Amino acid sequence: MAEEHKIIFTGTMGAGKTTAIAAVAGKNMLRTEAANTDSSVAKATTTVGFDYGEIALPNGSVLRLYGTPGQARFAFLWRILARGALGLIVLVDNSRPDPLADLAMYLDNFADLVRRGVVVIGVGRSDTHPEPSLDSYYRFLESRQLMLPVFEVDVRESEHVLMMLDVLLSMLEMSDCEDETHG
Amino acid sequence: MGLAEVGLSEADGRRLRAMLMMALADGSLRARWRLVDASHARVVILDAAKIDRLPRLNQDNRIVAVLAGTADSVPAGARTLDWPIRAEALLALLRDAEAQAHSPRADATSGRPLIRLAELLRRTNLHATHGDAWLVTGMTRAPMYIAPQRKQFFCTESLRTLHRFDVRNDFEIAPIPATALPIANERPKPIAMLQWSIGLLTGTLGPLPWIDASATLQLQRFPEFQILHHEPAHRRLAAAFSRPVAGIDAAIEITKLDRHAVCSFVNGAELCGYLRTSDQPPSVARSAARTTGGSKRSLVQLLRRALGIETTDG
Repeated sequence: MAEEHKIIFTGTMGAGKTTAIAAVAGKNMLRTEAANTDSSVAKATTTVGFDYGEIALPNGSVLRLYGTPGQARFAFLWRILARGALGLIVLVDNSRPDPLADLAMYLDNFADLVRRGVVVIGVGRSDTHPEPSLDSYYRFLESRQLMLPVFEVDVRESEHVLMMLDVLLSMLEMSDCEDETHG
Repeated sequence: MGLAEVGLSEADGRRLRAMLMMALADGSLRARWRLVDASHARVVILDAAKIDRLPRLNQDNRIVAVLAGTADSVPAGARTLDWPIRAEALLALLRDAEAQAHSPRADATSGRPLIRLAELLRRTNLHATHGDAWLVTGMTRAPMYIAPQRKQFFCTESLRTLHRFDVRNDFEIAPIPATALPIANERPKPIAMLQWSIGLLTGTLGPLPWIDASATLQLQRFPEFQILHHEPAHRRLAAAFSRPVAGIDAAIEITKLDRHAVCSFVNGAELCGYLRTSDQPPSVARSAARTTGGSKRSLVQLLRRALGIETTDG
C-alpha cells in the first residue's frame, strides 16, 4: 500500500532549509517565498508558508520533505508538521547572536521527536563563525541529557545534506531497536 | 621487517650489515629487512656480554638471538646464534621470523607497530605527548609527520593510501624535534583524520588492547563524518552507539554488522576521543536485535535507495 512519510527541516531564517531541501528534492520542490521584510537578516526572500519537496519511493510511496518557516511565531505550524514525522533536521546558523538559544527553542518545540532521538543538528557558517564550537554544542546537549549528532555543514553541498539524512535514518533504524525492546 | 643489534662489537656489527646487504641483494629473503632501533625490530641480535638486557628485549614478542661463543653463558631456552656470525645462520633466523610473520598466530599478534602508533595518537587527547613530534615512515609512500601539540599531521598523500596498508607490515615511528615539521611546505590536516584512520585499520586486530570489549560503551559526540573517511556502516554504528551499548558483541547483534566493522568503528571513535564507557544501563537490549528486521528497517532501506544513499548489507 502506498504510504506517505515525512522528514522536517527546521531552523532560523536564513539557516538554509530551502537550500537543503532543494539539494535532495531537485525540481520536485515547491517554495512559498516572499520578499523578506526583516532587515536583520541579509536575504532577499524568506519562506512564509513552508517549503515542500517530495521524493517518490520505488513501492509507490512518497517521502515528503518539509521546511518550516523559521520565525518563532510559526511554532503552531511546526507542531502540526511534526505530527507523524520520521525525524527532524535542525539547521543552526552559527553567525547569529545566540545559536545555542536558537537550538534550544527548536528542541523544545519538537520535544516528541527529540525524545525519540530522531534528530540531527547541522551547524552552518562555522567556517566564518567558529564559536560556539562543536564541543560547546555537545556540552549544551549533555546539559539536557541528550546525545544527538551535530555536524558542521554547508547545505549547498548535497553530500552534507545526504549525510545528515543518512545519519537521521540510522537514528530512526536504531530507535527501532529501542522501541521493540521496550515494547 | 626490522633487524637490530644490541651490544655487538664494531667488527660483528659490520659483518652483520654486510651479510644482510648480500642476502637482500641476491633475493634470499622475502621481506625487505632493514636495520632499525631495537624497539622497532622484529629480530634482535644481542651480544652475550649484554645478556642482562634479554628479559626486556624479549617483551613484545620479538625474536631475540644471543650471539654467543662457546665460553659464553646463555640462559636456558634462549635462542642463540653461534659466534662468529655465519651467513647461513643469519638467513635461517630471518627466514624463521618471516615464516612466523605469515603464520595465523603471528597474524593475530602482529600489528604491534600499529598498536604503538594508536597508543601515541590516543595520548594526544590526554595532553601527555611523547616527544615534540613524530615521523612515521613506511605506511605511506610519503612520510607522515605528526604534531601532537598542534593536533595536526602532515602528509602529502591522501589517507586513501593509508587505508590500503597491510597491518602485518612493519613501519617506523621516530620522535623528531618540532622544528623538523614541514610547517612551511605542507598543509596540516586535523589529527582526528589520522586517529580515525588508524583506528579503522586496527579493526582487523580486534578491539584496541585498552578497550574492555564487554564494557558498556557510548559515544560522547559523533564522528565528524563530513571530514572523516568512512563507510556507510559507520553511520549506523554511530547511531547505535549514541545510546549505551553493552559491549562489542551487543553492537554486532544490534547492527548486524561483522566484528571487523564494529571493532574498526569502536577503535576509530576511541582514538578520536569520541567514545566513553558508560555506567548507564544499556538501553538497547541484545534481544532487540532479533526483532530489528521489522517494517521500520525496511522503510529505512527503501528511503536510502530513493535518496541515492550508498548502503551496506547487514
